[in-house]
Amino acid sequence: MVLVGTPVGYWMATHEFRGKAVLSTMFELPLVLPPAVAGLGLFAAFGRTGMLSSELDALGLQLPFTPAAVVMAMTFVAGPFYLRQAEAAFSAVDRDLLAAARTLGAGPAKVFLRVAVPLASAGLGAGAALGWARALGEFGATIMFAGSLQGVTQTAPIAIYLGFERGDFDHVYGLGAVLIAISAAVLLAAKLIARGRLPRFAPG
Amino acid sequence: MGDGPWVPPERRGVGLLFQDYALFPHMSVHANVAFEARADVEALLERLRIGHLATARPGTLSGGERQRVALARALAIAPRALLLDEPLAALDPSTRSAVAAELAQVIDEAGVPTVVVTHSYEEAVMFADQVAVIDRGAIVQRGSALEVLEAPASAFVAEFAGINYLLGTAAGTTVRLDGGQTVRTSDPADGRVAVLVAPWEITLALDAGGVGDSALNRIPARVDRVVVVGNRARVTLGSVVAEVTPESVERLAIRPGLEVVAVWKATATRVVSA
Repeated sequence: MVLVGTPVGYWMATHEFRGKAVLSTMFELPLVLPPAVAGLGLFAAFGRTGMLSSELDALGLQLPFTPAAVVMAMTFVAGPFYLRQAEAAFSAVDRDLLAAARTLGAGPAKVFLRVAVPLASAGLGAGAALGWARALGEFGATIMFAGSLQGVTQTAPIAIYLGFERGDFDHVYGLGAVLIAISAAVLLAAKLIARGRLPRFAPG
Repeated sequence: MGDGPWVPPERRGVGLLFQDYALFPHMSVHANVAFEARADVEALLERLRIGHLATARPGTLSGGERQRVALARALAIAPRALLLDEPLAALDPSTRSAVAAELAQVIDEAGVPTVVVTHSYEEAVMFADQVAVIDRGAIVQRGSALEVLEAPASAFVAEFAGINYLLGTAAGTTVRLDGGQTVRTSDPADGRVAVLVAPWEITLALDAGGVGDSALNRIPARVDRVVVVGNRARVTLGSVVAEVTPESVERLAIRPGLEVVAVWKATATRVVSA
């Protein structure tokens, strides 16, 4: 998510091109899409009878109901959170700094790594934390595309739901408490990153 | 913009000093200068007298220091040319002239062909061997600062150089200005002309008498504005600007609305066709 979202966010923030609005709408679609629909979409594309099934078969890959499917579902749903944050963080970087680095002889890759990413790091960190938190809570897309195989593809929220159905409340409350603690810690970390880093990086 | 092939900025070898310096805020002074340095960074920092700031962040520096860091960073890449975009614009007026003098010296020592973009004729004079005046995207005049001052090619150039540019119709050494007044000049001419007279050639008098005074031009005018800049006072009289000392302004009680006489010698005027 971070590996792909960071350069894409940078690209989106520093370039104007035809169809940018369409592209960014496509990237952001999972934000507003009901997660169940997102899972259905993934299943339609990568499922056993999906659009890419013959290509996947040729590669010997089977995705649905595997741990890889969990990761795909989470990335699909949480990625846009990170991408939006990354794009906003890069947009806030003074374009003159990027231009200055270029005039000094740095190629686009060095400008990205040495100037843009460090200056956007607070926003990127916050975006990663929020995206991760969103992935943690992922339910709909995961259960549609990855199912709920205990110990394989069962995520914590799904386990909670199924435990609740069974009436296994000890288990459910325990897991819930762990998720609350993790979520609070992530949120706190995101805030600390944003507050601790921003003043130091503020130009002026 | 221009024709010619597109060269990516990192391969142009042109050191660019940004108007607000564009220093990397997340790096120390040393790291800024060393970013793509091909020259000896320490020596450069010493030469620009910022060696003691090597570990400082740009955010903690004064405007003049930041400018020196930006200049060091631009020089560190051993550029084939330097481009300074309004180098003094981001400084406050009190430090501007001191920084300008330093900057001019650094540019001289660097020995790199340098283009300075400025809106100030004084800066242009301070930095440039050659001045090119750009009006609406085109170079309208180029030459030494003195050449531009002595023979501005247009009203725009004259205004930029701070020279009075009065349009009129000449017959011999007399020019009838479009405003109705008559001016005597020492260069005979005919037809449409512009009379050039430098503000510092014009003196102000309180009465039109002038008996026993050799100055031939005595033009009554009303004071519009008095602006004191340093040790000079610029007095605007309609289309004419006179430059006198602040002491004279005080002694003659020159203030907006006062009727005065602008006086200058015929030999202080030059006439160019317009």
